[in-house]
Amino acid sequence: MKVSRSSSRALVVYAVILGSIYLIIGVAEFTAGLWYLFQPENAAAILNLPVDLFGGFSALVIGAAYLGGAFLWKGKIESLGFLLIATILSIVFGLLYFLIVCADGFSTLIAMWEGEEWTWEWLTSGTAGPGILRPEIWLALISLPLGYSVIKTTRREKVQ
Amino acid sequence: MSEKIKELLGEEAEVKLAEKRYEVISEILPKVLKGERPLTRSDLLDKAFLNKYLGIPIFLALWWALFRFTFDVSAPLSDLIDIVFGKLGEISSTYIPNEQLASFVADGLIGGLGAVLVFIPPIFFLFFGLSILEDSGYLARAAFVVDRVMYKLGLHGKSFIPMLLGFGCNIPGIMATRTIDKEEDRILTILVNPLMSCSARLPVYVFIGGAVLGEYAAAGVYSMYFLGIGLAVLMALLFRKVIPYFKGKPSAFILELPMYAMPTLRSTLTHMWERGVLFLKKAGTIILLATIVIWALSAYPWEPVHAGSEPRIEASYIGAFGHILEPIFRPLGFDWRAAVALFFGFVAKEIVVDTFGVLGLGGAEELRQVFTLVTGLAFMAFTLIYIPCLATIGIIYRETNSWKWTIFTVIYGLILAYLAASLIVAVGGLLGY
Repeated sequence: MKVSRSSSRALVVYAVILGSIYLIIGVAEFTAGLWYLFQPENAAAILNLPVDLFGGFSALVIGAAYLGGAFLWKGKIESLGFLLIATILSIVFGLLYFLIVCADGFSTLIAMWEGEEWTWEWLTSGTAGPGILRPEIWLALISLPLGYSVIKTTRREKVQ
Repeated sequence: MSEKIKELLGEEAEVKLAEKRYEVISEILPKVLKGERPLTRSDLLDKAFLNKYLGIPIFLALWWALFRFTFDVSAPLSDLIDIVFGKLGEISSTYIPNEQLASFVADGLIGGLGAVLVFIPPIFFLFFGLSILEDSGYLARAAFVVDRVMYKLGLHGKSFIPMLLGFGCNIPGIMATRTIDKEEDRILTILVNPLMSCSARLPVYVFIGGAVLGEYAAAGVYSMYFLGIGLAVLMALLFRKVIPYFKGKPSAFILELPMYAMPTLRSTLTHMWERGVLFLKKAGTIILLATIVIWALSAYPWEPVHAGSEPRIEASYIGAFGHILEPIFRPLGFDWRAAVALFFGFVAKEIVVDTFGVLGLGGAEELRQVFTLVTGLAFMAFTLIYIPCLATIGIIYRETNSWKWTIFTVIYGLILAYLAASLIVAVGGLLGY
């Protein structure tokens, strides 16, 4: 099945840009994570991104899924599946890191009840790395319009 | 009989039947339906989820998300329970005048049971995530994707569902092997199923990992699940090569994939509750009983002067028993308390944490005096691999109807656990940890 070119090409450009950003983030997080595993003393964050081996791997997977949707350029409607999955994964990870930041905030609150001083550090550094500044949280928001457009396209193309 | 059919048809009867069934369906459909077959959203999603190259990486990424959700998001709730039990312990020590009764309530019931109950949040979170994956229809796809690898490595594709169930509890996992027709494939799946990390092991990983692995804690827990899968596949491959009974190729795997569905909050919460409540029941029965026994063994012979202090525990029955076990575990860097915890973990894996709690090692600080990063990881691996719990052994016997296979599972598990833990300690030492 083919999808109309005018609508699909805009989606592909958006997806390729998002996919490339995810790939860059994924490579940086994964490489730093791998380096940290073997050389914990000399390890350092790349591009100020979190040192996260599996998180980086997951970002790479999302990036690859977005790029897998590039075949939509030729009008292949099946490629919409890759864009859908990439958006779902992007939202899952964005939500996950956001929940982790919230959990860090709750932990700080519990610590305050126990007599410790309240700080806002959990917002910018914590279990999810740079807290609310974790790029995957913001990329999930950026991927929402793409997800909406993909669903709209599937409806227009009468995908059941 | 099945071999004869296979010879005649050139492939397995099940595969042939499925092929024919779909042939008939595709002959009928064009006669009753006009136009092109409509594309569904499930078809679109399957393009990516079942993709030859992306299918497995997507599965791994989702699994990682599940573990971070289980481990990191539930953490403050566990902290809350811990604080409540800590306060209860303080109150009971202060207000109960009888020293032995105070020790029983504070060190035994609250210290031991409390150490286990703090894992209610991660266990419920794990089941919540698993229910979403199951209700959405993704888990069936995961089975399909993993089958390609499993078949190459000598495991039957149908083994994936029992293995997956094993992540919840090994007992339903082993019982689910009844769906495997070929007896050899079924027994092989039963033998490796205990290597799937059941939810009872999760408290041990979270407990040890949280204390000694620091920022590696989530990665440590995640790696235990993959160590289990890796070892299960490796052992299946080895058994198929070495044990004549298992020689030959596994039979083919046919699975009809359900349509994707949006999981509802109600059904997800119901599934989570149904599975999670088993942990609560266990805590109120077996774990409570074990807590009382372990406390009694650690408190007697009673020495009032050193009440609650370590010397009293060292001189107790459990201390004496632990020192007998210690030489076996010393090469792995485990002291007598770790050895005793592993011994009692034979009854149920949660009791490992319970034992540490009763022995006064309920906190991260205390645990860091017993384990280093490497020995902590080795302890987690040992807990994953060694003898499954008593109930699992019972079910292995019932399902195989053979003491030979039951004893074999226990012995190979112990040897493999020792080898894997030794390897972790050796590699960790080489890497300078």
